Amino acid sequence: MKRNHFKQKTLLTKTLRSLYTVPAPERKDTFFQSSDYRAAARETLYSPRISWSVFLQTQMHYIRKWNWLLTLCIFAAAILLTLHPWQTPAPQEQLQELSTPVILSACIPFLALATIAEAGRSARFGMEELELSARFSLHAVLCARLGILGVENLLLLAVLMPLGPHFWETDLSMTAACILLPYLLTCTLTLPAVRKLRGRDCTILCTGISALVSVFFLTAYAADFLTRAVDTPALIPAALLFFGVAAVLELRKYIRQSEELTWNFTLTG
Amino acid sequence: MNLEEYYDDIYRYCFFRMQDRSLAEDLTQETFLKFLETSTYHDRGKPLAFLYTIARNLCIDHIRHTKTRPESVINCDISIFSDAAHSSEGTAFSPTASVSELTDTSIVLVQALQTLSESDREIICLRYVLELNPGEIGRIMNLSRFVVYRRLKRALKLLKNQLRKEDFQ
Repeated sequence: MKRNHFKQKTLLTKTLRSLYTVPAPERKDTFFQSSDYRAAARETLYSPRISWSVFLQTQMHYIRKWNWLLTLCIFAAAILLTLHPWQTPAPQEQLQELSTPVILSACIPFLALATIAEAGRSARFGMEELELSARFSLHAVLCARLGILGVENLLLLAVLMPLGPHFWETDLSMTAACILLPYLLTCTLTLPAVRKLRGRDCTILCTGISALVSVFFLTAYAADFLTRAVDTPALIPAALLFFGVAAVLELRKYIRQSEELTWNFTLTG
Repeated sequence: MNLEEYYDDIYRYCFFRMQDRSLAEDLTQETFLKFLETSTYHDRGKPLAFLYTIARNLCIDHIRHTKTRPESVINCDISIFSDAAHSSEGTAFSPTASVSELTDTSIVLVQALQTLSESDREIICLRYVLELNPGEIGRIMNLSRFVVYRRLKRALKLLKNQLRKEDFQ
């Protein structure tokens, strides 16, 4: 039955194509050589455009200062917790309950939140339309800002990762579980919220998710769940891979959605 | 961005709608000039769908301004399309093949197509002849993807009802 239906549809498509014939265009080459087209194309298609590096520099100025400050604070906290004064016996005992990577794992969801919040800023303030009428499309702006913040976060995490085995007496797997996992988990959970919700609801939900991830990692460490997870072979790399892929897919959907928004505004404008 | 590669697609669309070679070329060229005029378009999605949208609007504008529809179908046997040519639905998106190319099945299909509304023929043409996906058709016709799917299904059902079963076995 299905096969017959498919055959019918193929025959219908084939017959339709044979019914719609078009005479070859006669003035195509003349048009593309004409002065009217060339002048219009020169003005719009080949006009000097701003280079990528300059564009990224301009976008860097639009990223809010507290975003950079938060990154700096997390980095400073990681360094300070490693430094000598903290290594005295008394604080060491207090800190034994919560080792440095665990403290960082509670802070890192908020780093991810700051990045996501920056990406959703235009939507939160209802500024997409204004951004669209600006020189750069929302799609390009979003890619640039997320790219800058992504690289910045990547650098921070890449700097923090080797600190674990060297200073905090944790192996690489535990450091990854405490530093990379909360970041990827927060991204995976908050991006769908940013895609589907707008305004204050979105902010509240994303903050809630980040706080939950933060609390989850603190309790997971306290309940020894994190240590057992690290001891299970390949669990942490598998979790990192899973949440990494999920975060990338969500990010792709989010950027694609910004293109759809562009289309809507282009058609209704 | 190489716009030349889209010329044939837009020309085909304009030809199917206007059924006039010279007019179709004029509208195609106007489409490209309009596209270039909207310089703010840079980096905003795929240009082909936007070009189709401009072409569609220009065709509609042209029909509104001239208030005339093509009187006969180019290359077609007037006896087959005479009813449709004088109907209020007009002949936009009517089949354009010459009568010598038509087989029995094609003739039945041509007659079935004439019973569809212009917008249904447009959707059928965009989907099966110009090979656009429902999302792109939706953008061009300012419809949601869901509506495009529903209309396509309805148009195909109407076509099937019109066709005798033995013609497609």
